[in-house]
Amino acid sequence: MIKRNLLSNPFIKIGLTSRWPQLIGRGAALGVFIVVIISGLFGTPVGNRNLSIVLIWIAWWAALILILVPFLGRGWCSICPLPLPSEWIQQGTVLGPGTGNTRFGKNWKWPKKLRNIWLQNGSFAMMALFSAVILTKPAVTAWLLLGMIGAAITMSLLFERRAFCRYLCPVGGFIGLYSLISPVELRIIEQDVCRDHQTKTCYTGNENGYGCPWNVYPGALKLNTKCGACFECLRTCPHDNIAINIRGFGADLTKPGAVKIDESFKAILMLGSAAIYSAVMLGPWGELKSAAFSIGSGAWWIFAGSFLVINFILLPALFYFAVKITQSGSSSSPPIKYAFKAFSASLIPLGLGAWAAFSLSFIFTNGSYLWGVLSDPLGVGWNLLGTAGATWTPYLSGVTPTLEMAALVLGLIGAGQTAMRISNQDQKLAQPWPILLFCFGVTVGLLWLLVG
Amino acid sequence: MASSRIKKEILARFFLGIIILGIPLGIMIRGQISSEPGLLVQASIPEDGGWNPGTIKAKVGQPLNLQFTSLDVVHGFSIGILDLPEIDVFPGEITRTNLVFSEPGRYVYYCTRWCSPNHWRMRGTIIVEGESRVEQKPDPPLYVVMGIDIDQDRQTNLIPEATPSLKAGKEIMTGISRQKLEPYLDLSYLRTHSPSEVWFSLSEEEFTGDLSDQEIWNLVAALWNSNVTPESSLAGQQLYDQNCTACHGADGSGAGIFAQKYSPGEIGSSNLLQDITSPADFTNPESMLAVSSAILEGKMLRGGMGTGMPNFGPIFSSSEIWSIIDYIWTFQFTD
Repeated sequence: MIKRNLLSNPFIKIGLTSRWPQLIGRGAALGVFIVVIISGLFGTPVGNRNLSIVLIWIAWWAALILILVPFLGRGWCSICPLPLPSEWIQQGTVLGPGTGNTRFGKNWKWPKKLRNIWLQNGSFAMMALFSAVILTKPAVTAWLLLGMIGAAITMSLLFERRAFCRYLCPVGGFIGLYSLISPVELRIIEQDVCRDHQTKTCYTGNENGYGCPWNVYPGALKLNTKCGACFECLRTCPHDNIAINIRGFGADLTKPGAVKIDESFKAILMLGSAAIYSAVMLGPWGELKSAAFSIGSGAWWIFAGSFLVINFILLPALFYFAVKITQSGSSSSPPIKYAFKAFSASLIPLGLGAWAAFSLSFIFTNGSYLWGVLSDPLGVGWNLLGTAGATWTPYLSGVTPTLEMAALVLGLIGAGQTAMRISNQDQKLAQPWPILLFCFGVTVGLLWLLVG
Repeated sequence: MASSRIKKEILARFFLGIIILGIPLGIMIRGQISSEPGLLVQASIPEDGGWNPGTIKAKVGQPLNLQFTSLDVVHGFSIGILDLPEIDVFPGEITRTNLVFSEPGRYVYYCTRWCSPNHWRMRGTIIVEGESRVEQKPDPPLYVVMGIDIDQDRQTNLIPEATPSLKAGKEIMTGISRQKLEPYLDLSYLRTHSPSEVWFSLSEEEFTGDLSDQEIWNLVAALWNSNVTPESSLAGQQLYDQNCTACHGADGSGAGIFAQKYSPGEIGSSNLLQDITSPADFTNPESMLAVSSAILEGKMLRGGMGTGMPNFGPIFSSSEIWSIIDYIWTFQFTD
């Protein structure tokens, strides 16, 4: 597919290079988060009557998985309000540079050994272990958001740039990984222009914008994973050498070195989590649900242990076994780690399909709660929009299983195509069939869990 | 140039300041404006605190505006003794009601929905102050008047061969003169004596000389039913189903769905369930035929007995209590 630079449209270019539209977007998102936090802390503890639960874990999550990540990659990160206070404190301004250097904090470099997403894998797993409570108790959701803002502030006071977003945010890790699928990318136009540009203002910053907050040199950007869609490089590049391209879905997945080992484990963790979430939240197993909810109990420890074993040992071992089979009978096999990383790219569309199917199951079933909480965000009897009395109404219940199935099948097709392309591109990875079988098996399992 | 940037920065800070300060302020103001007169009463399962507040004060003749909301599951609100319609209290929704009390006193409000195993612990008190217009106080219950120890263990070996038949007993009654049965048909006599005591007395009567032991039991069954109307029988069954079945079971065997929660094996699951034994078995003739209706009334009014049985005294009216007791006897006497 031929790439098309969206910035050739002057309106889009002005919209993205000007600081105001983004500030307004961030301000709006921040405003919503403030209402969410107040609702969580001071509103009714009844989840389906509190804005914090319904907006974050039903509406936002579904929008993220079904629209934002598949179509816009890290689009959410560009207006995410969580790192805003930390960035303002760190930079000393709210609009942008140029009003004097008031940079605050230690400005340390992030430790080299931690320049990966292992911490994000850990933070996501931790959230998942407590998710039954996080997803149902408004106060816990509010404290989680406050905790994330606090962590972002703390990290910004110690480390340079957006260390929290890049290395700790439990959501940012998988958004980055799944944004490899997205049909939008930020890339440079001419390599030579960057090479000849001595001051590298995209990385160091100038009066028009900050040096890349995500600690990425755009001149070397090949993948969506680490680009936070902050658009600072659009503002700081003096040569207009940055493009925002429309491209084919999954274009990054088959690039050499697209997935690092920490990201392979993230792909597996996301896949396993989707299955476990489906079992806990949608399955008929009351004891499993109780175990996930009863944090600190013996049953919960068993649940937590099983979650970790499944996601960090069992599934990786199964995938490792599948990868190992791809190498059998070949004398020119690459190191197993190489094949493991390369083929794990196929788990990315598979995982996104699984999360899309899971999200479809609850957004259509529980989306109608949104009308009530928009009118009465704290659940205290308000009726701001006249919709407080809206009753729970499942939407499209007749076609939801079909849509879930379609999402899973699309994910499987994406996984299959990815594995086949990787195999075709690399002579050393000539046997994708065990990977396809693995993906097929996982899809059948998810179909059973989600559709029955 | 620099001044323009500073102006833009100030504008941006103003914009964000409105969001950061304006939204909480707006919510606070909206909260103040929208707060309708009335006391917010929050309901949560007893394990999480029950009613909040647990005590409400009111004055005779003055309206008491209450706003209910549930913090967890669906609850119900009602006030004991008073004949008021139940109010459902839904999670996250506000339900409003106005109450006016005509008499001072301590009224018990309680949950009418089976919200948890400790559902019946979910009670609160409305203290109504003011002058009373009623001079006569209600009579004390029979067990108090008679000084009955309702906690005494009572068992009888006087057990019928088959479940006493009401129908057969009524046929026997038609053959006995009304005058001879008059003392046994007296309501206070029947309520203060156990079936085994009545059976023993009847067996010593001359007019029962030709009757077998089982036939005397059938006669006891007919006597027990002599003061029961179809209306009170239906009311008793409905009240039993709503309030007693969960523990005592629909068949009266003490094996309701919550019974296991009150078994010794489950003790410790809740602080409210310490040292609790299983609910009473109304189908057991050894224990049931040894107790009088007055004892059953006392147990219902006072509760306890180490069984987790709540006190229904502040909840049910006297007629409701007796209709339930009449229904409980149907587990010993068949049609």
